[in-house]
Amino acid sequence: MVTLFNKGDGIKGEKITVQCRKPNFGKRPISGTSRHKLQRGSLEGSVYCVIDKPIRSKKEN
Amino acid sequence: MAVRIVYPQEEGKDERSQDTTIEVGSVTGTYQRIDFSQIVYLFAEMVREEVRAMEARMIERIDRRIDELVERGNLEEGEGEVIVLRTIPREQAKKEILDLLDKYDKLYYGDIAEQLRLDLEQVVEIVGELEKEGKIEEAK
Repeated sequence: MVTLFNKGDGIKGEKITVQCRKPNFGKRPISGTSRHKLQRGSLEGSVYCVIDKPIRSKKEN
Repeated sequence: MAVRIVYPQEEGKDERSQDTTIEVGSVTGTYQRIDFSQIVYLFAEMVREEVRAMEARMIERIDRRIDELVERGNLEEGEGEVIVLRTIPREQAKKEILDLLDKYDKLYYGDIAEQLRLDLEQVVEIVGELEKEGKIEEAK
């Protein structure tokens, strides 16, 4: 698993789970492309984000 | 509890000789000699108690602050619940994650961190290890 540290690095995914000290999310929706509304904000203080994925136990046959 | 250091009173000897002893007892009562390992244990216990008390005070302050914010309308009811993360050994965390995955069809990293009250980054690392060990896999 890779962790990105450099300023300007981005991550993209359908579901990103975050942990931080101070989330700042405004309540104004932003009109994005294809008429989907987006929200924008920032996370500050010991931020850790991960592109989340579903996991399951591997059953032995 | 009181602690006193008893130095030998012999003439011509350096006060901090090997015969120096440490005794524990009540200020007005009798004292009992203890050795260094007992001192370390007692000190560790004192520090642990102090840390627990500090943690409880901090959580209480955070709870009060959240109640204030809810009252003022800055937070909605149910928001801002304090989650106290656990620090547990890696092997125990692995076992708990596997036990949790046995109960559910599939879970996300965030769900696991939330349910087990573990640090998110630690969950991601441990899940990575369990995947390499072949015990779990990505669910489609």
